[in-house]
Amino acid sequence: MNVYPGSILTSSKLWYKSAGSIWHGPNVSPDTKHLLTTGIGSATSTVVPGTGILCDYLLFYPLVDMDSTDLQEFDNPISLPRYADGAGVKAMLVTTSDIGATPSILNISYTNQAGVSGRTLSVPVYLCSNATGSQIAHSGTTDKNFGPFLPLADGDYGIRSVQSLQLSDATGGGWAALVLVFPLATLQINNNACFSEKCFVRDSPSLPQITDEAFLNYIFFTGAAMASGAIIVGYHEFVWG
Amino acid sequence: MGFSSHDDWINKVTSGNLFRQDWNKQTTAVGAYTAGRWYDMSQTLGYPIQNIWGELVKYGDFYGSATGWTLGAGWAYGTNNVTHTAGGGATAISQTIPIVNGRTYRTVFTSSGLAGAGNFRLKLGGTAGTDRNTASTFTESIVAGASGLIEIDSDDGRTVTIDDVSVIEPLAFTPYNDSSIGAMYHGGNVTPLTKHLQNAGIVSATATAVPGVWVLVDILGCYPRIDMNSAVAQTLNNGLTLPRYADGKGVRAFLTATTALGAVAHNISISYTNTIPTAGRTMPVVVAGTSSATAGQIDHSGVGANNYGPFLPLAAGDQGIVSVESFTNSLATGAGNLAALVLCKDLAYIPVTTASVLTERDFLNQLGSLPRVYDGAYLSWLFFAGAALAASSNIYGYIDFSWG
Repeated sequence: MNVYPGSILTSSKLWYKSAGSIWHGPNVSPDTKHLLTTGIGSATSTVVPGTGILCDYLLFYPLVDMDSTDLQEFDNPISLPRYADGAGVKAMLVTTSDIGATPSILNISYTNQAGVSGRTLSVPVYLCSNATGSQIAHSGTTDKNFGPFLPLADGDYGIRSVQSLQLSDATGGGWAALVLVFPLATLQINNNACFSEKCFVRDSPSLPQITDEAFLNYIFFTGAAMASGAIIVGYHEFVWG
Repeated sequence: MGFSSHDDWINKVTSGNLFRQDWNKQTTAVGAYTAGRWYDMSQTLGYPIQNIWGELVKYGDFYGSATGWTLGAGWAYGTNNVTHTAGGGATAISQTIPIVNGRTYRTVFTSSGLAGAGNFRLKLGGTAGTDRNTASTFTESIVAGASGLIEIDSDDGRTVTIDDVSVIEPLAFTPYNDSSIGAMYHGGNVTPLTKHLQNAGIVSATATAVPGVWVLVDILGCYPRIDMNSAVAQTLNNGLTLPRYADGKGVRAFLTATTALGAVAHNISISYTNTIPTAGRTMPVVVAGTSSATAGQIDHSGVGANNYGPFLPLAAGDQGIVSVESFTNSLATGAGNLAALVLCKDLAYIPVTTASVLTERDFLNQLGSLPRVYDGAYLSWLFFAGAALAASSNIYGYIDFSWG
């Protein structure tokens, strides 16, 4: 399922009614909703070890051309639907199709949490050659790979919007989406066919807030060569008051 | 303040008194770490960005943009540099930096791409350095004026490209806070409430990243540009003082190589003031540095005789360091060899045991301590390598902070 359909390079909102969101119940305002417990498991041995980060996906810029060195300018008719000032909001470039083999360096120009525009990444960020679809293209184990989130400029701790993206080299093909997310919780999966569970009062006390209309889903760090078609199942309990 | 009960904690956290920070670091591409040594991870790439000890200029390398600089008319960003074009006016680029009026700083900048006629110069706090009109790298000591600005200004008729701007006060205690270069944002000031470490997690896919120990420290400041090519006692300047933990209790020191050091066995010694305060305190043992230490290594750590790490041992009965008055290296290690003596307060220790397996700490229920994170804390990591951590290894982590 492609959760990143939209107008080319144009900010597109994600919310709890977008396709692909994990349902967490209706809006509860003026109460606040929080993540209480989580469990994740899989019968596939190559899913483990792995780390899942539950995120509130906020918006995305689709159809980033991974075969172009042009300055790809983004249009921002939609602003952040949640966490409006951008504090804590992170960015990741997600491939929506396989990209080419040519190494390339990524940079973006963004507006930070204080509303200052023209901010750029603090270091050269290299993409993974031949990254397959749905990979965070700048994550990996080679030099200048950084993941899961793009390293922001000094002093910045969030992104309010992104104005442009540019690659140093055309990779040879493929497309991606630049996605803005707010990380909420992290869960480790250690054993296949056995649920990993966490209580956010007793285990990692934090009770992450699930904002009304949040689009919830996971990014996943693979510690092994996870087989295609692996099924990961899980549950969440939410509480509000 | 803090939390009076579990219920109080729930009330505070669910009211929004929680901030999560995700960070990532990549080890140096120069070479693998050595098992048994400690490393200063603030000097590695990633987010937070790489710290250069004592550096006061942000984005002096203009990587990706002229972020942090104000460009006067006639100046424009190029490609990882800025250029003044002749005819654009006698104007400057500028940045506000934490310099102190009357103090002497080492300034550096590089010029290239010259055309036209006229001079350009670096100004510090309004005090002009030497006029320049050639392509070179210029190093000059300047006594700062009162403006709080670093500027590079150019005559109208000069075209010049500027890069690699640096201002450091060598051998002087340079305080660090959460607006210093490479700081990790942890939620902002919360006074009169108190902020605490809540949870932390670290993972790496690199097999040689484990086993290891990560230590979160609050960096209080440093004495930069310690000359490791000198066997003469170096007097350290303490015109500025500890920004936190002012009484020095729990404050420790480590010497981190900021360049690779030569293949010379050497011992190091310091004279410091303890928490009483009593000056002239010295270490109770011989402390050996590491021959051929790599940049980023804590020089005195390792598995050799008289190695101690991550912190320098204190004299008997001492509870911490208020200031350090001098540093001595027993033998010069080589031309251009430099280090920084760093003062810090350790907050939390996180052992990592298995590659690709997230190690987590809960500082409320698991290891109940809720280490306090003071307003302005400059948080950074030290890493104990239990194995020969490969070059360009990636590490990801997160930290939750709560306050009440």
